[in-house]
Amino acid sequence: MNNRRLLVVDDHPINRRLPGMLLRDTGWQCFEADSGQAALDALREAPYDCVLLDISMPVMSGTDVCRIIKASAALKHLRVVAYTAHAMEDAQNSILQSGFDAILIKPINRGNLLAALEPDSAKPAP
Amino acid sequence: MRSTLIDTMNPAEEVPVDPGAKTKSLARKELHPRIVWVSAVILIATIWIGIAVYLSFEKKTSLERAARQAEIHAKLLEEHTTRTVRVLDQTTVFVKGEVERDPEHFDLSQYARDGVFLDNFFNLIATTDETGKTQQIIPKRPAANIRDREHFSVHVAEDTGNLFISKPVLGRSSGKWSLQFTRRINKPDGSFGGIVVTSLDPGYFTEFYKSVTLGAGSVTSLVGNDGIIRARRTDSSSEIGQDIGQSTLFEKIADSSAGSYIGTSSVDSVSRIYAYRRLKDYPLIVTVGISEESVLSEFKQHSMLMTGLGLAMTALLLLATAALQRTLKAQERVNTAMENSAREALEATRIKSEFISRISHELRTPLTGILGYSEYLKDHAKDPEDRETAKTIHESGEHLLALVNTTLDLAKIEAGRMTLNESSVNLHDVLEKVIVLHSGNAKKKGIEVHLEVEERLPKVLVMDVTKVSQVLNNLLQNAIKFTDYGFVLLRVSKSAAGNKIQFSITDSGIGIPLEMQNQIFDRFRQLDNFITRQHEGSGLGLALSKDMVQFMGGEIWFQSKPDLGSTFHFTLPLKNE
Repeated sequence: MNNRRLLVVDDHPINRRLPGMLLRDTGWQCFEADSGQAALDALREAPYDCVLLDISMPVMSGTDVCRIIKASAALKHLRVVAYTAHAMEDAQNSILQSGFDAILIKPINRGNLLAALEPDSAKPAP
Repeated sequence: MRSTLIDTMNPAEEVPVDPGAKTKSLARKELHPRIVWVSAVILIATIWIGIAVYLSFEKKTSLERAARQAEIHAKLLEEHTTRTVRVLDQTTVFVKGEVERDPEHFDLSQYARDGVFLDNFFNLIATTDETGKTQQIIPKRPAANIRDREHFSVHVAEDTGNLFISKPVLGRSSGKWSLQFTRRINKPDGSFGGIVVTSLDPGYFTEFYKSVTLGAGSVTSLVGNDGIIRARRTDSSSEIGQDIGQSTLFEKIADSSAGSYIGTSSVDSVSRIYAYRRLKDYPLIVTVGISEESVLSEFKQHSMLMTGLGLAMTALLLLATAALQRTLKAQERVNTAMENSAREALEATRIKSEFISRISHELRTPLTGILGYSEYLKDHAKDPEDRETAKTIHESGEHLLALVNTTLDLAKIEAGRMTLNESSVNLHDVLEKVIVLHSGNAKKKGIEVHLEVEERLPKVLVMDVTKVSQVLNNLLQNAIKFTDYGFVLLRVSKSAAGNKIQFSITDSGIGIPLEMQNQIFDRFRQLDNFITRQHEGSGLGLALSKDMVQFMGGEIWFQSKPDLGSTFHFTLPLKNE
């Protein structure tokens, strides 16, 4: 339970820092990547327990990153949670269809953030 | 797994909206106006071809019928003529024989008295000597010399043994036209001894046809092989003597001894259907002509009638086509306009949806920071006053988020983007969750929140739990907000008919002023001219609740008494698992 590693990927610095703050004293250790490419580099360098992945990022979208992760033999069992402000239902459906394990809709709070990181929560809290 | 249904119950839009879908042609494809014209032209052409074929057939039939009729009459005339000439020739042969047998005692008038000759048949019967001078003649008349006549001279040179039929001759003594039938009389030594002449009124031949009506302009005639008309009768006159040796008849008769043709008379220039027959035993041809005009008079009437009908039909068709064309063009314009407006509507919906998505995304991104950092601060700030401040920021942020969510939900309904996500849920769990969410606020105001669930209701139901929770949350929140003393009760029951589930939220609050009661479900119509400052709220919650309940196929209403409290009810179709 202690010292699990979370990679937060978001081009928006404020929202990238936020999970780390909310998860203080929870046993999650947060790392940050500001782009899809940086995320992939980080994932290849070190092991992670979970990735929080923003969808709308320039150059490489979260959806692209997720596809690459799920297509990679080494990474495909990694839990990938969409970290997105796309709240519309059809957007959520298309996100789930592109291979994400769960969706965390912004804005977040500590409770639903923690729930989303746990492997048994397939859905975000309402 | 979530499923997205574009449900037909969607009240906001009649057309299911899929902004990604290509705009299909909504209007049926109508007849192209050009095709209508082509069809009309083909139809008109067909009518005229039909008329032409029918008329030409009728004309042909009429002419053929006339030709057959003429042929029958020609045959009758031929038989009659042959009989007449034979009778006449028998007399000629008899006289010739008697003269040759006993020239000295031959007495023509004695035979006449004995009744040997037919009465009233011959103009005259006469014999001449070899000089052409008449010897005996009946009926009696002065002697004359016919040496210069062809019917005499033809016999002088040689004995052909044949009857000679003269051209029409104008009698010197009678002044009347007659035909002379002559045979040579031989002396005992075989030399020329004169002729026997029998004379006949040419009208006799054609008289036969007087009683037979062949129609106006018809003609019967008797022509010699030499081309000279021996007798001719029309309904109005009986000219004779003309030479028609160069006429069509003689071209035809050179080929066959009987037949018919259409030609124009060289005598009176009337166009007729002619039948002709050459006599077998005598150098004569009979012709019967029926005037084309009389034959075709019926056809001409039909022709005029049909042409008139054809013109009328053509005019009618053209008018109908023009009318249809106008209608089609108008229809086409309407269709185009409809297609355009449908496309525009679809496009507008798509733009609206996209806008909603974008706005949602754009508002949520900064809200994430506001809510997230204030949440952190309200728990972690060192100074209690700072924590209180952070808490206020956090609550304001939550309020803003609720407002954003409600606005977007309303916009989604308007854009037809609301979807029904039904699943099987445990009713009690759902209700408990909702109650728990509000118990904190209620407790703060000293209000009890009760829950009553009717036993008859099934434990597990199919519903869109997000929307039902949202409506319940909204109504409970209002109930608590407007109640300062007493209780709030959520009662869930089965409708009398058993096909609906009914949720009733009762409070002991301030109630709704009578003058506001008919507009509380309107957007932005919070009853807050008098309340606004005490109870914050967008005024959108009830409007959204109403839209959502209706979207799920239910109804929403309320009862309220100012100062005593309100009850809000809503029903949903009861769907068992």
